[in-house]
Amino acid sequence: MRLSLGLTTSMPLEESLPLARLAEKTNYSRIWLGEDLNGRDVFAYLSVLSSETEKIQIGTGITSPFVRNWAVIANSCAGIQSLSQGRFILGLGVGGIPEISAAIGHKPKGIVSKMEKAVLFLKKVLKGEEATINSWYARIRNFSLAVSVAPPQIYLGVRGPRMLALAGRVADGVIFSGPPKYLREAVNIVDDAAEDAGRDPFEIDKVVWNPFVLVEKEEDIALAADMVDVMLPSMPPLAKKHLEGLGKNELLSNICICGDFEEIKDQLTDYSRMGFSEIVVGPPYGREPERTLKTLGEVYGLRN
Amino acid sequence: MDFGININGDRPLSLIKKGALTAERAGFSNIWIGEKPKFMHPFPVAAAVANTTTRVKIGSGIISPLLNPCNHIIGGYAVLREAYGDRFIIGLAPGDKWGLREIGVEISGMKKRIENCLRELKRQGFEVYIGASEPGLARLGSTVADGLLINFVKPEYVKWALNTARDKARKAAYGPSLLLPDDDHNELLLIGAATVAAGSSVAFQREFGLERWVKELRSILRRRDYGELWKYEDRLLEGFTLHGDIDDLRIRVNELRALGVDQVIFGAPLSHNIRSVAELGEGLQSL
Repeated sequence: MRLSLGLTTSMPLEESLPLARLAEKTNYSRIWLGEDLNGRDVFAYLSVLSSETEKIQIGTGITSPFVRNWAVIANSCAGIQSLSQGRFILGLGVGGIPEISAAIGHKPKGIVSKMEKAVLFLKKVLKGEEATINSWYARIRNFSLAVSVAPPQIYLGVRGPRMLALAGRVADGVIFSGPPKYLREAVNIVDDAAEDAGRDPFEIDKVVWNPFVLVEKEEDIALAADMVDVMLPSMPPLAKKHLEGLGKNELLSNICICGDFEEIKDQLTDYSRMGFSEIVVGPPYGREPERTLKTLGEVYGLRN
Repeated sequence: MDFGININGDRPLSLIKKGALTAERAGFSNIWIGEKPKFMHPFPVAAAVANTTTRVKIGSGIISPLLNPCNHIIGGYAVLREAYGDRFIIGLAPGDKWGLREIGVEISGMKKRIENCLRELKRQGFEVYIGASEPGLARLGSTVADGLLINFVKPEYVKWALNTARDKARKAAYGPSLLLPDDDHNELLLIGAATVAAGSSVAFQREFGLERWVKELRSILRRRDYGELWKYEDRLLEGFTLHGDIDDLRIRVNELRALGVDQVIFGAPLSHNIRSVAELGEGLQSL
């Protein structure tokens, strides 16, 4: 089981850079950067993280092809892949529908088909080939990049069944989030789709990013409870059905990776048994984020 | 008079960083990073340049709010400023509309979108230059922005571009450049000149009767039949570039200074030749 660090663009650099450096030092595998649409730009932020780290992989977790021109996603990936000397991973997802609708002025349509075309377009262009898209949702003619880079892997951060199946068909990895029972179903959907597409499901890297809280004192639980309030409304129906009728504590343990060190160790073991190869240690971390990262990194990071 | 160098994300970052460091050491005050869809995005390039240099100002020359939503431009420069200090200038312009159409970018309402983005950037305390490719933008740039980026270096064209600008606005003139002799980059100079001409505004083309010629240049560029550009060598080089030995370039700089230009930006491909960057910087020091 690998550990990675989750950050978001709403975090000021003075908060995130010490965590990024610590993650690198304590052998975390990756840094995933979540995008807050109205905050700092995810690609500029990753440019800074690339410059300030040396060996840890860095990725968008996620950015949306529904709000960015695909040529710009491609040329941003090329720049960061070059700047990071091949450490970049492109995480794509739809993003929150209300936020995306506000950004583009209407509710996105044809989501699965558009995402599939975006992934295929980006894979082709980032391999150094020329690509053309002529559809109602994108019109790009004979596009290629001026520089060649090692093509980054493309992960999908998705939750609905059709998007999970798409990930099984086309993605190098999947970033999952949600309660454990949902995650089991979601992994099965990805694996089945992969097999149907003639792929080996074990080749698809599976990452879990749920809110993470190391609980050292009773009051730390409030940090996790806040995250439940944030996460619950955005859960897809497939996940929500596993949360109906649950009490406060059960919701906490379903939506967050939280507990004392021993409890977290047990949860990581459970996730590993479910087929996940990576856990993202993301906000809010715990009362002292640096100590949480260090403690976990020293135990898990150094194993890899 | 200030001097800038334009560096684009069309080359390996190791060379870009070397060029930026050479430019800073040679006394250039500004490095302007261009945006084209096929180039690496200006954000990672700007981060690489900022991380390599210590004092040079880093501008986008230009970044397009038609291609990048304005909140991404603001959010991008906000994080770069947070990391590297207040060293960034945002050069804002529509970009090459013909090239933007090729990648499906909606260009309607262009002036309003630029104005809105400019006002928001100013509200957030950024230094902003506006690409003065047509009179309306020149007026906007000289009243609301901190300065104007003029994509011309021929005096006749510069005068036209500045016609509606207010005197108090700072004015930076940009043109594809080459310090001669440099046989390795001649064709790139020609392509750079043709790209500027092909991306020029309708108002500019009408003013100088260039509509048919620009159409042909676009066709050549689209076909990537660059050998065809040589038949327009004189017209392209005279109209749209800064080229020559140090003395020639000094004369061109003085011409531009006389028109009120206070920064000359030597555009690519000059920056492809690191030795030229160092020599030019030294040669311009007495100006």
